[in-house]
Amino acid sequence: MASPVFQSCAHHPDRRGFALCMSCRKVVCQECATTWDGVNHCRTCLESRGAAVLSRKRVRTWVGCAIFCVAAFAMTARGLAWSAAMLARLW
Amino acid sequence: MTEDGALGLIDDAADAVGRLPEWVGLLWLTALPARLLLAFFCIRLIQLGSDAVHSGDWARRIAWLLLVAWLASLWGRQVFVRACRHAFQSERPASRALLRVPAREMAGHLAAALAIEALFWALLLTFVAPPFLLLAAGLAAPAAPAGGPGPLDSLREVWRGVGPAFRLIRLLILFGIAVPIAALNLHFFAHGVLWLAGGIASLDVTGWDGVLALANPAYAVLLFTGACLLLEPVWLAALTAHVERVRARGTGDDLRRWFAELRVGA
Repeated sequence: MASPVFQSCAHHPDRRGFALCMSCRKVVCQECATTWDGVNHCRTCLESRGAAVLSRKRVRTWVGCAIFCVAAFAMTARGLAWSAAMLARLW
Repeated sequence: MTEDGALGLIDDAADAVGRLPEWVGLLWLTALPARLLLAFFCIRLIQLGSDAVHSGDWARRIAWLLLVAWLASLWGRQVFVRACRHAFQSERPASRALLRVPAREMAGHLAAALAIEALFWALLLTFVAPPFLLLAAGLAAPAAPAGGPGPLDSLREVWRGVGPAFRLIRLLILFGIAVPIAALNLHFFAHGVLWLAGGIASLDVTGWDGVLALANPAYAVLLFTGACLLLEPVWLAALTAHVERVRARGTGDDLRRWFAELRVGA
C-alpha cells in the first residue's frame, strides 16, 4: 500500500494525505486526523465512536434510574408502613 | 422579581398563583387522591392506636396504594412548576405544551423525590429531619429535573438549588405558621356552612356539631390535609422562585437583568 503522503484525503480530495485512519482504513488529511491513544482516527469514525459511548452511557443511566426508582419505591412503602405504625403506637 | 427575602418569594409566588388558576386546579386534582389516602391512613392509624403494629399487612397495602397515588401527584407538581416558571418569565398565559413534561425531567424529579420520600419515612421518628426533608421534597420539583434521569445528578441539582439556606428556613417557618391559620380558616368556613344550612335551609344539623369539632381526630386530620392542599400551590411557586433566583445568580443572569434595567433607566 502506498504511503498516505502520496494519496489525497478521503474527505478533502484537494488536500494531501497525512495519516491512515485505523478504523476505516481511509487516508485523511492533517485536519481530519486525530491521534487518540497513539492511534490515528478520522473525524467520522471518532464521532461514531463517541456517539456509541454516549448512547451506552445513556442506556446505563436510564437502567440505573429504573432500578433505583423500583428499589426506593419498595423501601418507601415499607418505611411508610413501619414508621406510621410506630408513630401510632407512640400516640 | 421583587425583594430578595422569604417575603419576596411569597410575593412572587402569590402573583404567579393568581395568574395560573387552571394550573392550580390541575395541581389540586392530581394531589387530591394521595392527600385523601394519607388522611385516611392517618385516621385509621389513630383509631388503631397501639394495635397498629399488628396490622402490618393492611398498612403495607395502603402504603403501596398511597405511593402509587403520590406518583401521579408528582406529574401534577412538575407541570405546575413549569407553569410557574413560565409565569415568572412572561406575562402571556401558559400554553398546553407545558403538560408534556420531557421524560428526562420527569425521571430526574421522580428519582430525587423517591430518595427524599424514602429518607422522610425512615427518619420520621427523629422529628428533626422531617421538616428539612419536606423542604427538600418541595425543592425537588423545580430543581431535580435539570439533573436528568441519574439519581445522583438529580439529587446534586436539589442540593445546588438550596442556595441561601436562611431564606429557605424563614420560608419553612412562615409556612409552618400558615398551615394552622389556614386550617382554622377552613374550620370556621365549615362551621359557617353548617350555620347557614341550619339557619337558612332549616336542615337538622345537630349531629354535625360533634363531627365538625376539633376534638374529633378524623376531622382534625382532614382540616390539616385541606390546609396543606390550600397552601401547596404557593409553597411550590415560592420554591420555584427561589431556585430560579439561585440559578440566575449562578449564571450571572441577575446581573444581566440588572444592567438591562439600568440601561433602560438611563
